[in-house]
Amino acid sequence: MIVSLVSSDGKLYQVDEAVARRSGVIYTVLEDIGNQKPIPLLNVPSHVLKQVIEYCEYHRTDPLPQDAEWSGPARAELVRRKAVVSDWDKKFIDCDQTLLFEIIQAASYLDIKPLLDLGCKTVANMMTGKSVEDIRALFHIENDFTPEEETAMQVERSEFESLYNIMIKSMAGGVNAPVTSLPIPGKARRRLRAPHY
Amino acid sequence: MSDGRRGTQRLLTLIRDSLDALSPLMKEDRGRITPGHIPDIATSSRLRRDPAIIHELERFDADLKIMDEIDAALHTLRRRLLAHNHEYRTQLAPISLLPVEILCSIFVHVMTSEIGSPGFVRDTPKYVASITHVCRRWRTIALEQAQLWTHINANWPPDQIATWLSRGTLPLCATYVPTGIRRAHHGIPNDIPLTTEDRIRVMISLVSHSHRWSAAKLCFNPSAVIDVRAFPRLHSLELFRARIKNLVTLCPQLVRLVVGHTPHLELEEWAAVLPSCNVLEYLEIGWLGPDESPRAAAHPVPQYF
Repeated sequence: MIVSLVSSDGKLYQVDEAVARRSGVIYTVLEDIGNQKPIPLLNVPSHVLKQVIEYCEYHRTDPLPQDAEWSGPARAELVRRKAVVSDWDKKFIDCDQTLLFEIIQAASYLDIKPLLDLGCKTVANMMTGKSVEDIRALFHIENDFTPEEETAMQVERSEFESLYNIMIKSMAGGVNAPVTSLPIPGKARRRLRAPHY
Repeated sequence: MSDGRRGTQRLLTLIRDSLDALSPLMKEDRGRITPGHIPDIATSSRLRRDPAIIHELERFDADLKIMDEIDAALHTLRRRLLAHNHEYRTQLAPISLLPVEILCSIFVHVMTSEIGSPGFVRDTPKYVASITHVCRRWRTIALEQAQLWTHINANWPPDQIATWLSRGTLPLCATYVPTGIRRAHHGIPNDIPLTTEDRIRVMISLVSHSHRWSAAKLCFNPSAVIDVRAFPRLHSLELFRARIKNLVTLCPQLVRLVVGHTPHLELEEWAAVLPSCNVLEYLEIGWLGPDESPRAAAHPVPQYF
């Protein structure tokens, strides 16, 4: 069965019902009022809806994710978050920032949890291992702290950094090893042995 | 210069002129009084009710009222300009388009992607700083996001621990392995060296949140501070070099218990403690004897119930 979707700029898309049902919102609409009329998606422009449909087409046979609340042990949630991102997903989400954030917003609006998760994970990965200054530059975020606040935060960060360097130095060849010879933090962290206790 | 600022400058000039005009008036008043001579009652009364001064005071009151209105108007203008500036800059940074709940989700991803990685608990402040120090909006969101404040290392300085605890409300994963232990046994370097006084402060802070503990790794004898506390949410407990008699009985939801490297623990004591662990599913016991050899704890003999 075919479902008609209308983007915020008025473009009509016709998709298979199995594909449309990947969205929790559309699923509910179909359950409640059926697919007699086109479903207007007021917050999703056509260029984003096209991408979302492409994602849902590819994942049409995937099992629907189970809801897992963070308030409990959240083991299922953790496993889900740590799951490996497929090559297709990586390629799909490899786009410019504006489109990436629009896809994330659309996934949130349409209640497509795996796509939302993929987008959030991608943004998180972009941030991981980067300094505060790097993150500001990456996302074009302006530093709106006062000079006093910024100084206090820099002191705090340098304390974390020195603590981290002590650990890395120790792992790289004793506490007297020079910092300059150390591996980069992201890779270094993965090289550390997991403490049992 | 904008029209508003030009008007304000003009007003300031007028006020200064008024002050200048006031000076001769005051000088004239002072001239009516001879030093050392008190005028008679009628003159004093007339001078006190000088219509010129009263008129001037009324004018000043009216001017001050206008000034208050100008002050309010200037603040409104500033607020509007600030909002416009924020909106303009937001358009330059696409990530600002994301609503709060999505940013929260991203922040949690940043933290959870590191869970399980070596040194995660130790480096948690570093990861969090990369979120809370970026901009004011991110900081506000992160401070209100309880999930970011659930992993704690008791080897952090006491002030940091107190801040951390005050920011979270969700179940807590606490780690306490004193300086030297990890380094000696696993080649992991020391944490920040804490004094005994600091350690006590840290433990008191942590234990005051005992109702939040969901998982803990402890390497000390906690009985002195936790005998009277209950840990209603604690489901995973790893104890090393610690006695457990009271601790375990205070954890009704304990599902997983790992005990290693615990000297002077009698089997009779175990026999008394374990029946109170009604929901225990996993038990791992390391070395129980007086010898504190690390090898014993490194290769524990698992026991499943």
